[in-house]
Amino acid sequence: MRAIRVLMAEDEVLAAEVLEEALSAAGFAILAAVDGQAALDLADHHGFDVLLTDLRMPRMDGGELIRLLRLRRPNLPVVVMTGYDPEEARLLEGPGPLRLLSKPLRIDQVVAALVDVVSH
Amino acid sequence: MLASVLDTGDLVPHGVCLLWRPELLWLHILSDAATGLAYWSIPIALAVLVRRRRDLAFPWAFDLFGLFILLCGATHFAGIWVLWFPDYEIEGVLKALTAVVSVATAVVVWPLLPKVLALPSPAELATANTALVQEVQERREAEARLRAAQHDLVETARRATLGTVCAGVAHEMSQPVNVISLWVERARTLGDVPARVDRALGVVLEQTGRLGLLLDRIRLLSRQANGEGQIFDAVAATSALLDGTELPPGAELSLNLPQQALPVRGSLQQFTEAVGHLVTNAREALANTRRGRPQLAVEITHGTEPGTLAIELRDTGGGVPGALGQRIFEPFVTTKPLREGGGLGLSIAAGIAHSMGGRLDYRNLEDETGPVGAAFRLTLPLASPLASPLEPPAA
Repeated sequence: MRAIRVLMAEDEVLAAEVLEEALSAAGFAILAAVDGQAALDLADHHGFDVLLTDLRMPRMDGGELIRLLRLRRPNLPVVVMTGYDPEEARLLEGPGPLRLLSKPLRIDQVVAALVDVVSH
Repeated sequence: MLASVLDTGDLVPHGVCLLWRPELLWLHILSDAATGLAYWSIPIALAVLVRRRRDLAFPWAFDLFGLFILLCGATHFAGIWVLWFPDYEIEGVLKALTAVVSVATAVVVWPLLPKVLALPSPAELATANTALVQEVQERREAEARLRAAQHDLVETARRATLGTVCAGVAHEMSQPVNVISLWVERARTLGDVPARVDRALGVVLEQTGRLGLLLDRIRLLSRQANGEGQIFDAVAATSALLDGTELPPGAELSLNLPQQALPVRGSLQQFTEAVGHLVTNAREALANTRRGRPQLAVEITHGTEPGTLAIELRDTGGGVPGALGQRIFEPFVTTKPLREGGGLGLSIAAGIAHSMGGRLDYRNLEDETGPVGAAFRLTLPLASPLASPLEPPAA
């Protein structure tokens, strides 16, 4: 079975580093970007199955990144990691599957959410 | 002449004409005495009135009436006197004086009449007084309502601020807690960890879990403080906010707001707080600039994407230093001196824009002479796709 390809946008480098390591160890293929704009650039040249994104990031935030990626792929599976009230992030609901995770995260939680939205 | 008038040698008392008949004498005496006494009591009453009521209009008229009545009374007493003593000259002089004063009074009373009529009557004054009392009462009630409304406004602003602060604190604290939690969880899976170290990592993980629950409760508090979302008119809300805004002296405010209502969904308090932070930001930039005539332009137009509106504030406050860039929206990042601003306003405004499904952007404005100021643009989704679109802005 092919590894699930995850486009990950997280500006907190220490969180990104350990997430990439743990998710890779869990069998995912990670495309890591430091903010929304970098993730959008990566999306131009690489295929991926699911977007894992923080909300507040410099240059382009997670909300804008989701909006622009959905213009290309309306049913894109998305997992959002947020330090804000996840209720507020409900505005990000779209046609595709969406899971909202509240920080602090648990790796097994992230894994389960990624598998869940992809298999939706 | 005077001597001949006062010479009464040849005259007979008036009683002679009445043939000293007692019933006629008594009739005259009693009638004249009663009339004279009555006449003289009136000027006394008038004198008391004028002394006691210092605020009387035309007090000299009362003196004139008093003198006129006094003289009328005197002629009646003279009438009794001349029944026995034929001093008709004195009686005549009294009558002449009475005539002069009577005529003067009669002449004066007519021009005085309209002036007296023009004076407000006690009833009118009482009515006016009642109206005045009522107006004072209404004003007091209006003031009480205003105070209550101000109190409500402060309360909602306090709650909205509390909600925003809670959301910000939860967000900022969740970042390091998240990093700790992820690294410890990862470390435990690396294997070959001595039992005691694994126990330590387990405790740290458990405690970060507790911190996570605390953060969830703070987020819940923020949601409750901010209230449920509602649909409101962004144009009216912006207009109401700007009505109460004071710009630095000499600064000019130019408005370009659409005529129709533009509904957005969210918390009105939060919206007002977000736009308020943008206005405060512009105001402080204008106050600190030495460039020409300070100006703030506020414009509401349609957003670049369909179904959105954009509220743009353009100031001539010099703009955002290039090195700062998008960091201007991060908490505690500010160009202001420490005492003036904490650097939270723009990050709060951006957070609110975000929570309403919109965003906050800025760009620097320049002309041929160099940087002019900054434009902050708050883009929000319209609440209903049926909302009438705005006219496109003139090219």
